[in-house]
Amino acid sequence: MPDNAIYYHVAYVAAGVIYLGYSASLYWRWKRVREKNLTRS
Amino acid sequence: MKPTPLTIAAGVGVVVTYIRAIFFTPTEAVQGPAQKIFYVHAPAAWVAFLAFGLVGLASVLYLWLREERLDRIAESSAEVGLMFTTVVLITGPLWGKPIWGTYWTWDARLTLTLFLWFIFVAYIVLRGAIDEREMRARYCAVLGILGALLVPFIHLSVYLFRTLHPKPILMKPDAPSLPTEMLTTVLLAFAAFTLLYVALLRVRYRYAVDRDALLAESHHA
Repeated sequence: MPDNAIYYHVAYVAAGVIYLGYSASLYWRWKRVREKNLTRS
Repeated sequence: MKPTPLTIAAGVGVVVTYIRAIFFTPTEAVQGPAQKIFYVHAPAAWVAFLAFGLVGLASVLYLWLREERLDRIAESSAEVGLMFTTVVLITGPLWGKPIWGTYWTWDARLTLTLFLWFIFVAYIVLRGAIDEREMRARYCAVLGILGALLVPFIHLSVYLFRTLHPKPILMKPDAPSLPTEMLTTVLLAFAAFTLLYVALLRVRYRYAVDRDALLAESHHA
């Protein structure tokens, strides 16, 4: 069996970082807009 | 924003998929551990196609009905779909290197997927470049439809062209060609990442609603 586990480890970490990073960016953007909306109202 | 049952289910589903794929799914004998990339690559591709399909549908409906919420759905789905396509374009080459001997080849499936990614990057850039709401929605709807039209073509590209990319294992007319343990992991991954897409789409849509309310208020002030 070929020893190529490093590629799958990197792929899993990269995918996880992208999913978490995007979710965090979405949360922060939403929070910023929400706070501005609350300040105005 | 409090976590909803949907976001919790999506998060748990993705974590369980990772754990099952890493620890409880057998390693394929010929390809070795690199085959496990399939469990994150294929569901991401499916979700990207689903997301861009929704962009196309919402865009067609927007051009017909001119309802703002349809434009918001298209905008939200395009951004989430672009994120999933980025995962596809990173995990694919990481599988290609040990199996094909190269990270990238200008094969029909890979090239068209990269082209799709650029179309939706252009879609996001276009949204930021036009201030007038109605014009932005109309132009982006046209680009969104053009991008979505590429999706079935990409899916069929492995049949239409001579390509290195493997043919579909699940989304094909006959039975899936995988052992049961691997098939269970694949099905779990498809369900978990579809849930993740729906959860992210919902949050992104709510963000678009709040942002538009803020913009409308600042225009009135």
